[in-house]
Amino acid sequence: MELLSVRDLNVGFFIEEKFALAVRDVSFSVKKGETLCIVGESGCGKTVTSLSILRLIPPNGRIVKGNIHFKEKDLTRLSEEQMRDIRGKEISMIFQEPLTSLNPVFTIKDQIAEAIIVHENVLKQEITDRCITLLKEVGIPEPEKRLYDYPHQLSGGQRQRVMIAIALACNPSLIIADEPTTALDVTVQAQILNLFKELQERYKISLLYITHDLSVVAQIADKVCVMYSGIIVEEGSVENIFYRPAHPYTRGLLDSLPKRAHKKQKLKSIPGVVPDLLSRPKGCPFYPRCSLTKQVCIEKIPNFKELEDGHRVRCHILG
Amino acid sequence: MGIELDAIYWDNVYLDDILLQIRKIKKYFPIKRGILKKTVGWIKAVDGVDLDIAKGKTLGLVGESGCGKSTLARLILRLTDIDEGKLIFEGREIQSLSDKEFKPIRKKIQIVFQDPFGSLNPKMTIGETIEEGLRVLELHAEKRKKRVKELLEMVGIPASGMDMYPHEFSGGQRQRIGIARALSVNPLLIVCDEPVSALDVSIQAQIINLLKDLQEAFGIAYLFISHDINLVGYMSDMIAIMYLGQIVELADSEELFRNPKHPYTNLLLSAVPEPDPKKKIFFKLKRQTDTIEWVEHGCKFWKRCPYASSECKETEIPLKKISSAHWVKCIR
Repeated sequence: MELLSVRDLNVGFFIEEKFALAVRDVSFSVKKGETLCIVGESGCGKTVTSLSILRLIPPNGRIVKGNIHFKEKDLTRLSEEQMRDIRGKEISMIFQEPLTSLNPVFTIKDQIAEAIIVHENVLKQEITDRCITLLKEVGIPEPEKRLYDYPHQLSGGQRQRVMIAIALACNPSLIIADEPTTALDVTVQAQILNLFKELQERYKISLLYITHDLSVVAQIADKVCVMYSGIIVEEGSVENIFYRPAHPYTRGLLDSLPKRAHKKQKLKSIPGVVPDLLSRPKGCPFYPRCSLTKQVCIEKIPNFKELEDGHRVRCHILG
Repeated sequence: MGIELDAIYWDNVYLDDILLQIRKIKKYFPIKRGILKKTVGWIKAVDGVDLDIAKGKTLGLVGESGCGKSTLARLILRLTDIDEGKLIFEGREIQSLSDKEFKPIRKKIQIVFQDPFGSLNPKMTIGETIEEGLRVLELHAEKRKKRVKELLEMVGIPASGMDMYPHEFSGGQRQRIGIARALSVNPLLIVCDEPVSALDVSIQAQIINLLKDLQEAFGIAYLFISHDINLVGYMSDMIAIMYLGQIVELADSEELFRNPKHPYTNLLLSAVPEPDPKKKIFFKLKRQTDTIEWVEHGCKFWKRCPYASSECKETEIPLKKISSAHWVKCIR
């Protein structure tokens, strides 16, 4: 049974008096306890996708088409009030920058407690206990003392742990994490990734993990969606994506990672640049950078082809 | 104390091939508290670093945020004053030169910054930005124009772009412009401070290839600073691992990955995720700490080190040579 299922999502923005689609026909689903990674470069629409699930897109954006089913509810049809019951309770979100996403003038306790108070009726003492348990849960040493610290007194990794504690506060069934380790050092990143895995095993939380880093994807994902220029170009299990990549863009990304063993060789780079939102090509968005481009690629966006169970690719030529 | 003439590493490299020798350099920043701004302590950002950079080679510098790698870069460029120690560039001590005396040397040491958005002046066309360095060379206006065109083509930007402003370019292109600016004065050494970490994956490879091509063509030496150990491994001939202001391990790049000795190097290597779902990261720290804790005496790493003994807490350990191209600062 799918916990979250997004169908034909189209999200657009008004920019310079034009309307441009940032996300086009995006469909994916997340099962209970599963981790889905959306991977792509800046401007590919991965953050817009995650924000639309919580209906948090900026005022100049619109969900033009599509459904977002979560536990038999269609999130696109809920009222703002009903959405508020979902945010932070059923689905919580972790952002990239732990310093700016915590409020500098409130203590850690205030910020964890806020999530609990908004959604539940609990006694004061109980809140303190729950905050301590949550901080223990995410591996913060001496939680009783840390509770009254302000965000600036914590390191980057600890701040991100606090963010995770806030996300966990109301036992959500889905956590959306948008580049949660990008601003962190590798040793801290490794610890946070381990923490995500531990928590997931313990509580069977589903995770929608947004990142640009393929190495992180390999560590944490069960399923992967590769996005480029607003569309999903390839979707499959983590093994399919890393061992049997089908789309030229996925292959290009994997090839462009530096490997120590091939030091003498040049890196295989993908030529060209990511197209701007307002100047996206009409056909397959990747054709200007693709080495296999044929006439059909320039004319229309390819449909998905099913390669094997759950492994789908949008390419006219390959697959 | 005279100049120590021994090259500390590269047994097979003649002294003539050493471009820059860094000897015991230190930079401490005061910690000030209270209304009177009394100095209550010191942050030892760079604490006695010895390194050699050879002509036309790449020295990689790896470390986590706050380890002092960017301060070290600034010291080499003399953008920050050195407290103690020596910088010997082409056999000449440069750490105490006046700004005027340093000027001819500055054009031989250039830098490429991390942030391609903040490092270009938005009010100048890229042509003007690149030309600025050439004025120092006192080239004739017409020659300057020609050279700017050459430089832009060298880094893969059409020469017609020279009248455009930085905002008209993408991040990758801006980084190319930053590289063209560094190249304009024919440097012998370019300090690359996280040159690709702000760029998209598919663009990173383009910039790395460009840097490698330029090294081959002009024999420029790089000090390549990054937190990405895989990337540094790909780029560098030698790699230095920095922790809390000190170099804890220094080795030939292949040797370092084959035979890492320092526990911190091991920790770093085990924490780097591989783009392969079968190779999961697995490591345990002695204590659950995110933070790099400051250590006053002894080995800087002992609080996080799984092998720490009481000796580690007390004795200052020097960087010791363990094989022809491998130095470690560890008691074991």
